[in-house]
Amino acid sequence: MLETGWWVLFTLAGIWAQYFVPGVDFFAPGLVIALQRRQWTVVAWLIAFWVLLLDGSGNLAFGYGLGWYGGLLLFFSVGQWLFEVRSLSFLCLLGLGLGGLHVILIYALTSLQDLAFPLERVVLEGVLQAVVFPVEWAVVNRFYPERLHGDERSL
Amino acid sequence: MKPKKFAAIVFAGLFVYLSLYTWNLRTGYLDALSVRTGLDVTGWVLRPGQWLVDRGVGFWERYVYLVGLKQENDRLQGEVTRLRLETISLAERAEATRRLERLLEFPPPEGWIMTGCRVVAHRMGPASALETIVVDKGSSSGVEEDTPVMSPDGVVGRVLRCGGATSTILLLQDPSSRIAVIGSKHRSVGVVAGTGPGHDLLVRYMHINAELEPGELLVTSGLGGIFPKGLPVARVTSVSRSDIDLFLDVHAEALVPPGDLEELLLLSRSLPDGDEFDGDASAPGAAASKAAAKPATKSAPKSAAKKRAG
Repeated sequence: MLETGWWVLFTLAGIWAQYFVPGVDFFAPGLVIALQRRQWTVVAWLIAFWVLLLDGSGNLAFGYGLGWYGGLLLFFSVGQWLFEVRSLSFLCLLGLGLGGLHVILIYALTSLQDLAFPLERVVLEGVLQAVVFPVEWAVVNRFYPERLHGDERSL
Repeated sequence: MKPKKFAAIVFAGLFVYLSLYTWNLRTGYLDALSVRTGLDVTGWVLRPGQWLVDRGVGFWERYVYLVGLKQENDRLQGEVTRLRLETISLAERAEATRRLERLLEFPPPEGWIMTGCRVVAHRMGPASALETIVVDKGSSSGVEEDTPVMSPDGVVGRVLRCGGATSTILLLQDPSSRIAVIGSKHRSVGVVAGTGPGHDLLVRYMHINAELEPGELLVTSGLGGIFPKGLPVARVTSVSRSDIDLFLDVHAEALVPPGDLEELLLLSRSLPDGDEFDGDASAPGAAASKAAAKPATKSAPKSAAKKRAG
């Protein structure tokens, strides 16, 4: 119950953050926190709900959310072979990867739908995402309730 | 996990993703699901906060800052809006009457009605590549895709995606937006295309010999089948001719700056049996809707084609 409440509050805060800073995903650090704690059921639920939120509130055809969180899972899986997944360097790299992924996904989806690609704005959003991601992760990780921590095995 | 197995999972995931994407483009099921859930949830989350801000600002302005003066100003603003819509309506009707004298078989006008809505948010989330806004009316209020959207000053855009209680509006400034227009004075036809926020609009496909002058108002021509005829869209800022082009190079400025949007009007066709859809009568602009419903003319059926001229 507490866990559900925490994630609902996190989602509400994320929606408002996305209202004030368009073009940046504020849910991704939450997903990484769940991945780091190996809460696979939580990860599945969060991805299902946030994919609908991202694609519903956006203005492209369905596909961005799946590609976005699919890419995040891929980066995380590859990264855990090479890095300590809670190290700041890994999270900064992950932020950079997500910034690049945002540009690639928007370019791919606008090209597929024959829409104009606003290069400058999307690159700026990618940079912003790369900066916001590790900072938000640090803040959320700091306030994530200890009693919700699942499997704490070293990753 | 072995690299080969990992690579197989990645390729399988990519295959599933592309299959889903293609299937959705054909059927639209996933789009409908995400709009009915994600967009509406976003609207529900944002609306209470906006309501609180409105109440707080309203309380300050009405009871603390200037007692009485604000109410008077609101009433006068409403009157100005109503008169502006009436002026638009009458000007277009006068033009139409003049043309009617020459064209005896002028098609009878079909009724349109307006419903007010409030802007809930501008671009939301990372999956927003287009210049859009989110409003607090959806299919439960009779809104459909391609519903024209305007303010008392002119055309704002059209409905791109429609949830149950929330909709996304594609602004005419977006580079993917096209609206068929006609000059209010010389009646030269063209297509207004957006070039992005903060930039002039382009008027395309206006014949090199067409008559047009800076300052002329461009109104919807109704040829695209989405917008009724005669709604003001933009004002011409520059006209230049090229020796190597078949069309004029025309720039125009939108009549409605996108940053100032708070309350808008959604245009719907009235039902054929004469029963008009009222929407939310208490919504802003609802009172003024009848006056501006007059100049509308017959339009073709809609389609969800995103880049079609409106």
